[in-house]
Amino acid sequence: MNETSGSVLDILKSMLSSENLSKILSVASIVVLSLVFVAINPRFMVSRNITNILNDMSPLWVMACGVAFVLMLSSIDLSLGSIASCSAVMLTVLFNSIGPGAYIVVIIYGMLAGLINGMLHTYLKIPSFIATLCTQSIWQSVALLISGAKPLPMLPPVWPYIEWVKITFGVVPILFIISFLLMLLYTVIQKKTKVGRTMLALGENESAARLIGLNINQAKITAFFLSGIAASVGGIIFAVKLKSGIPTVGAQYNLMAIASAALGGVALSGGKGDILMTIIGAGLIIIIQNGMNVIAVDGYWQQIVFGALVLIAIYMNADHNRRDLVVK
Amino acid sequence: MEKKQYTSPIAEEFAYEMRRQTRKAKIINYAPVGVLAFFFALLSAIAPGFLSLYNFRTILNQLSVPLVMTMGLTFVILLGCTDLSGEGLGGFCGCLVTLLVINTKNANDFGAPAFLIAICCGLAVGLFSGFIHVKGKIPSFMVTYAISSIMSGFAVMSYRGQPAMAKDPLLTKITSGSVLGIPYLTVASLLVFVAAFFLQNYTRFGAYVMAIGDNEAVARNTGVNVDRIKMKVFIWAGFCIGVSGVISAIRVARGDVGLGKDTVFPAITAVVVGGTTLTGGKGGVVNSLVGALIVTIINNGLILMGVNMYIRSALQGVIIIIAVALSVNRGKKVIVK
Repeated sequence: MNETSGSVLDILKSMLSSENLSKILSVASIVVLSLVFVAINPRFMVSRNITNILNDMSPLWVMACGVAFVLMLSSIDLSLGSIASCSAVMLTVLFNSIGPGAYIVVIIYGMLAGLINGMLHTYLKIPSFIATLCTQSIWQSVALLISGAKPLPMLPPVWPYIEWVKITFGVVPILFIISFLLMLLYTVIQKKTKVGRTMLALGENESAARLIGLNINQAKITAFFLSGIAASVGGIIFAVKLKSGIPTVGAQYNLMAIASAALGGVALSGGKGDILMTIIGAGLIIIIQNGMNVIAVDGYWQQIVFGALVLIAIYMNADHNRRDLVVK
Repeated sequence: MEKKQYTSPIAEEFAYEMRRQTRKAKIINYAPVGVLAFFFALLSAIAPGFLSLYNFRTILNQLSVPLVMTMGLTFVILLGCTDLSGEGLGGFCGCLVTLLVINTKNANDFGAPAFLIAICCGLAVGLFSGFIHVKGKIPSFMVTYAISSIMSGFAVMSYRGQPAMAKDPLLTKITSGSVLGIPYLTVASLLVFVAAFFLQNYTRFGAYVMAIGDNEAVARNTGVNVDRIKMKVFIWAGFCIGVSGVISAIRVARGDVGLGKDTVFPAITAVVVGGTTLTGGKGGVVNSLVGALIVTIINNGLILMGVNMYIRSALQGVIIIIAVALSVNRGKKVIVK
């Protein structure tokens, strides 16, 4: 409840300050869809379901925050989902051997995976979508190999390590607080640090950014690095929430995270975007998903809806005025 | 000669540089063939049963799907674009075929025209993604990635609970038949290759694709209808994906959405390993044939050696990274997104 009204305020503000169509439409659709779902099934607005929505939203939001950095460069990170899956599996396996230290190891893994993406892209000059498509396949394979291609359950001895997940503050679950904190951190990085500003600058015009002496490679690698961390945090959230390491858990979140960022106003052509606004996109997607479950729509419709949603969101953010723009 | 370099006139230096570059280009052009020969020799030596008539037939069988996919993708990549829709679209076309021939789900019996309908569907979806890419100015990989998700949604919709099994005797006839020892399905894929070869080398369309891939702005300014050519390329890619989906469906006789699953990645590997650059304008369908052969025999060899399938797909990722890293233009001013 808090969340929906909060985003309504956000949208009113942004309507006054900027003419950002996709954000306004996203918030409007959140409101309309919520009403529609409530009308069809009043249980949609029960406090348990709101906790549910916030819980479901947290991994997606975290990943959207990460990928937003990469999208601002006008690059892309398709390896998010696999890094998340791999993190979930690793966490489950490592709990048995090193206990709570597994959290740290998994986050370090996320950092490394992000760094690898960034370095492949910057130093080897491999287009980001192909580099991350390859690492996606690699990490997916690693996740399947570690888990033996089946979901790994977390056994009762490790339950104390994940006990904290059940904490809620009113209707707000702790996982949501965690993703909120990560979002705050990422917003500070984007707005207040030189690296963060450089990312936007080079997304807008890379040659100009290079000419005025900004450290391009550092900014690019940092973006992928942050995206990697976000993906591994997303993976941790999946694992603790489901009490198991499912080797394909993140697969569909690639598209959903990109869609969230795009719906929140990040342009795929780079140089435009705001980490904070990813909440609108993530909120909309999860409300659609949850609402479809609540009103009992078949699961395969979700893939169709999300695919279409990505296209619409990106189309709305694209710059249609530059006729000479070469889009590949 | 080397000592004189500094004192020689500029023209001579230029000629020397040009000779060096053509030599380098020649080596790069033939590198994929060398790689193919190397892997063939290596696998003959280490993979048990690789060098046998039976295995060659298997390789020909395994070649058909990657070859068709590669033929579609080659043109897209020559433009500098990408088509990732194979995963969902291939699965969808496969599901569609099994629903149209005699099957366990419904009373349809279209026979051979079913293949045509499915391929036309692939073609139409290709047109759709091309249209969105060109008119919406959305990067092609993003469009096709989203389309892939949409189409796999539709594919899953086709089987409520359980995929359809095809019962048509036509399918078994096709899978078991062969001409001169070459299975029918491989013949079909080779026909697609011949069509692609013709398109690339003997039509204006092929020349335009090369020109656009090399420098889109110049092509546009010289009056080439870039948008229309791009859409045609995506239609061709959709056609190829449709054919590959139909081939895989005929082979397994089951309308599974997973039919398209592991086809895109090997196809990109094949195109890149064959020497077509991702930035566009360089390479071609013959390169891709060599690339498809490389990918197929490596895969076949690894299967014969009993390597885990997940390691195989991870290896493909590593191979692409290496191939792209070797082939990209690493000038300082090049902007890679």
